Amino acid sequence: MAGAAAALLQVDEITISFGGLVALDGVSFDVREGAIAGLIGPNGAGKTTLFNCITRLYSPDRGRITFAGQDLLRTPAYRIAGAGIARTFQNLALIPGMSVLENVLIGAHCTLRADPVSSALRLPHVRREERQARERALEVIDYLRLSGVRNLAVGVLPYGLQKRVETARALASRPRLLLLDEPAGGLSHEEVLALAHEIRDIRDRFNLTILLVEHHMSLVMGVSDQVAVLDFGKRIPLGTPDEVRKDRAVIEAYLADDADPATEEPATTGQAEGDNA
Amino acid sequence: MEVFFSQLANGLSTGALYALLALALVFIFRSTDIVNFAQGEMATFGTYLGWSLSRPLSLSWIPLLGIDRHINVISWNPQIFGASLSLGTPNEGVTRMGYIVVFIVTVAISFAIGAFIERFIIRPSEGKNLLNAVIVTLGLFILFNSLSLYRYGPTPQVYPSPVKAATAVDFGIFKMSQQALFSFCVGVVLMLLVYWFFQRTKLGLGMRAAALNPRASELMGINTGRMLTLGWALAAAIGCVAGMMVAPQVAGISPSLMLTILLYAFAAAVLGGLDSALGAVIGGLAVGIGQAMVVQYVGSQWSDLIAFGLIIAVLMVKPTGLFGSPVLEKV
Amino acid sequence: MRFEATGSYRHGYERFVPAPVEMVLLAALFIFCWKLYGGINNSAVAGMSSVVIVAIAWVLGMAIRVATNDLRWWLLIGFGLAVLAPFLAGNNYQVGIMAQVCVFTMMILGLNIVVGYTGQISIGHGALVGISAYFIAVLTHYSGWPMWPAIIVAVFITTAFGALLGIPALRLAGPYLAIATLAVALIFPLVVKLDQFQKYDGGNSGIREERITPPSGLDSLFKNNAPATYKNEFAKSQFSQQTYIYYILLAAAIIGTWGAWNLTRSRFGRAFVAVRDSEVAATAMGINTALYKVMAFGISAFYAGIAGALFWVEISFVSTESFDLFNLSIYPLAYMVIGGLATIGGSLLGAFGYLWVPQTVLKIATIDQGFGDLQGAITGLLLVVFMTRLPQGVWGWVLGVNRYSWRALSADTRALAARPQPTFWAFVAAAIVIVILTGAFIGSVWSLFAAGLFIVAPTSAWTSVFAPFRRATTSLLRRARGRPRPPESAPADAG
Repeated sequence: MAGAAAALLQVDEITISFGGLVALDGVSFDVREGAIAGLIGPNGAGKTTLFNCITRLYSPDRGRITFAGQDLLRTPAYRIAGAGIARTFQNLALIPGMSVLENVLIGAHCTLRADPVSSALRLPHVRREERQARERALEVIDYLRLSGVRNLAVGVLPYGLQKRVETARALASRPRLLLLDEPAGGLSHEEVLALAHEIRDIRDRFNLTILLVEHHMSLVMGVSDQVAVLDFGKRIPLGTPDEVRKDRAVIEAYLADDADPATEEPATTGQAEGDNA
Repeated sequence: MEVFFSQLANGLSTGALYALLALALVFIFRSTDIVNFAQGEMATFGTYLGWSLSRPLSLSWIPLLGIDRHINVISWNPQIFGASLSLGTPNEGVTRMGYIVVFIVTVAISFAIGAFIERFIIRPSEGKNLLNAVIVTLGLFILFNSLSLYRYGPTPQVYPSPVKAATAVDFGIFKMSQQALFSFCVGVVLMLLVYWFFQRTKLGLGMRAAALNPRASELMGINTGRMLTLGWALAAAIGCVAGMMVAPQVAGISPSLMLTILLYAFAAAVLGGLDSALGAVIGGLAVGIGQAMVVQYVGSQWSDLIAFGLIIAVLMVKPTGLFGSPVLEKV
Repeated sequence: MRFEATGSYRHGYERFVPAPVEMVLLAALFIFCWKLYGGINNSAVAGMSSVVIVAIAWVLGMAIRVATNDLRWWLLIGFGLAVLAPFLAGNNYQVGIMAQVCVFTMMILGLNIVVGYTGQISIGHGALVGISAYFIAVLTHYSGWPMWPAIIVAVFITTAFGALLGIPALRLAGPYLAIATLAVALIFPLVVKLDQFQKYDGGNSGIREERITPPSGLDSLFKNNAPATYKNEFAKSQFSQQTYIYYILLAAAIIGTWGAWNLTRSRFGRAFVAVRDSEVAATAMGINTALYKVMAFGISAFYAGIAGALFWVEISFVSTESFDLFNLSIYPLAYMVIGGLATIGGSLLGAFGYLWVPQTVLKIATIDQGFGDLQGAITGLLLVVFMTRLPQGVWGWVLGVNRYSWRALSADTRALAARPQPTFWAFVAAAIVIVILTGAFIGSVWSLFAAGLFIVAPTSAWTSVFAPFRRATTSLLRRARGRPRPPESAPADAG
């Protein structure tokens, strides 16, 4: 656990390329325990790719990612959630036919230990575990104001609610680090303001470290303790929001484009490809 | 040695039929990503249509109408309409001319059935889930199998052939039955036709484009939906030709005519790569020759076993087959 | 089997009145049991009594609904009927069919876990059932083992084999996996038939053993309570044996259903669905997708193994013909889809349909010789219609339709009738014709059943079935009237 108090997540010289196109080129930064770190950058800068590297949907060509002293690149993708990293997806990866509650319970999967045989027989310890998971899920659902729709199929909910369900699902796995991929995407101005408050509140209440990828400059600047800027695979600076805002390279690379915050990053093929990876 | 070459020739002949059916499977797989389990049964049904067309004019011409089966009285005497309408008499085969007419009409009907199936059955389940599509073709498989059984009964019926089916042709170094030679020739001609169609005609080019990238071809002004319909229709027609070639070579046409042949065609298609037309042809010929050799030198009970084992082995070791493009790219 | 979905929708007085669909299904169930169990043979009497049956169904439905206010009473009725089945049945044959229902309940439950929940198609489950049954047969017949240890070993081996079958699923996408599992289903009987194995597995002639007999206490109990149709002592002892076997199978099926239900609402069931719907999300939530796919195949094979064991207990005879592609791999898959993918209720309905639809067809076939050959066509047609129009299956359809109270139904019908919709009137006309025809040809009971179906089917369900025909007719009409076609709507509509 060397240096865990200082940095929970250390990303070190990560490089990944897809068929000659270098998506990330020696990116490194640290995220302090308990901090809210923002990761910004123009469209196609490789923000989601970096997320996919951290959650092991992609394997970087070079570099190291360390989480709480654990080498993530040696951890298979399905162990990431158990290690304490939960994420949301930019273009939602919910199970549309399942209810909100069930989706959140899927998030709790890695916290449950029951084996198939005792699950099939519904032995007392399975029942207890299941009940506790349910209570925790309901708590998270309550907290994210989803109680009214908890028995509805996720597929029928509006986009904003679906995003909240994703957050709830991520929280249900009791993570130490929460990765939020464009939480403000598709939200109105008022909702973004509320979201900033919400992110801080989530951090304090669940005692988390949060890394968020965002387009929405004011949200990131308002909420983050530290900000990293990605520019087409290269990280520019790392610092407090104020430092970043003054940095010339950042202004050139990114802020100049920010005139149109409505531009969505084109649906990254990352997740579709991740399916087959 | 003569035995070996005769087996080789027979293997090539059956292989050509496997290749035809495998080609039909590949058409459908390439254009819609669906493995058509009903391919063989559709072919059987089409062949039955051809059979009933080659019989004296009767209500049995009307597909699906089971009347003559249950009430044998209503079978019209062809003499009423004059000999010209009668394409043949039962149990005696048909005239050459009659055979060609029946052949063309049957292929045309099969073509229409294929188009109908794509348009009204496959398309509604398209884009939803590949699992759905597989199950739909399984449903068609059961449906056609049972319709053939219901409509035409379980007893094998003699299917006419323009050649003296059982007579062997002696090539000196090997012997081959006339029917085998005939079906080999038909198979090769059909494959060349298909090749010409896809490589040299505008319509064929459109179909290839629609299969490769439906969205882009839609933007280019190609009616993708129509191309898919055409693909299914062509596949059904080719399968039907294969059925009409097989029927005179076996005991006769029965509802299970194409069942094993379809499975060999699956082996051929998988061996060649499910999305490669060239692979289907080469796989078909290879499977045909291999089967003939296994029957001759190992024992006939091993032939099915080896064919199905081949399917599993190829899928486990190299799912793309010999000529297929990587599977996972196409999702 | 999510009861919340159906328990909460009804408010006010309607919660004390059975929904139309419940009414008709209940009445149909009564008629079905009554008729197939040989209760009514005279069609005029049947027609009269159907009114009484509907009345009974109504009262009973109301009573139970008041008591429980959700669909759980269906389970109660099903359970009661299943337990009483041997004594309601007219003959041993029907008890045997019910026993087969139990066998296929197990098989289809397993199949549903792997196909419905996990989304991995398997056409090779017949081979798994066959392996289990054959192992038991060989161990008891040639090695002289007692039956129960043989069953345990066979189920264990089948489970291991099924997990092996899951390994291709890690590499192969849908259609490829379908072909691979189909090949497995085809290879199994060929291997059994090989000359080299003849002396171990009986080859073509199969293996026959004595069926198990009930202990004397139960034997006399069953004999004393045998229905009056069993006249002599021999028939009674046959009944007693069959009933004993049926109860063993029923117990296994109930435990199996309970287990599958528990499993599907546990973390495993959720993980299976997650693997099916989004492997990326599943992985990110800590689900090892490869492991879970193999596990689904293993669990499914366990159920198939139990089904094979039950098969052996019921028939005590195996031959390669019993495990052919259609009977044990394709038809169960078809009826599972018709019953409802990824639902336990759908699996039960599927098993019931798999055995009883052919019986019903045979019953009708006594009127039209040759109709029996259409069994497969009916199955195939049902499968195609359900998969393309109602992919949620009968179970999902019933749950959906169940939301239609009498009030909603009449409101919808009025709304449809108010607008001049040619399809609607064509549909009504067709319904009337069909009801009259069924009445004329197969009897008033079935005509009532048909009428019920038409009344109950909410407009949404029917329009989803008939949507392409509706489009076709409207465009035909438009062309006939010479009006120009409106511009095509989004092409996505067609997909």
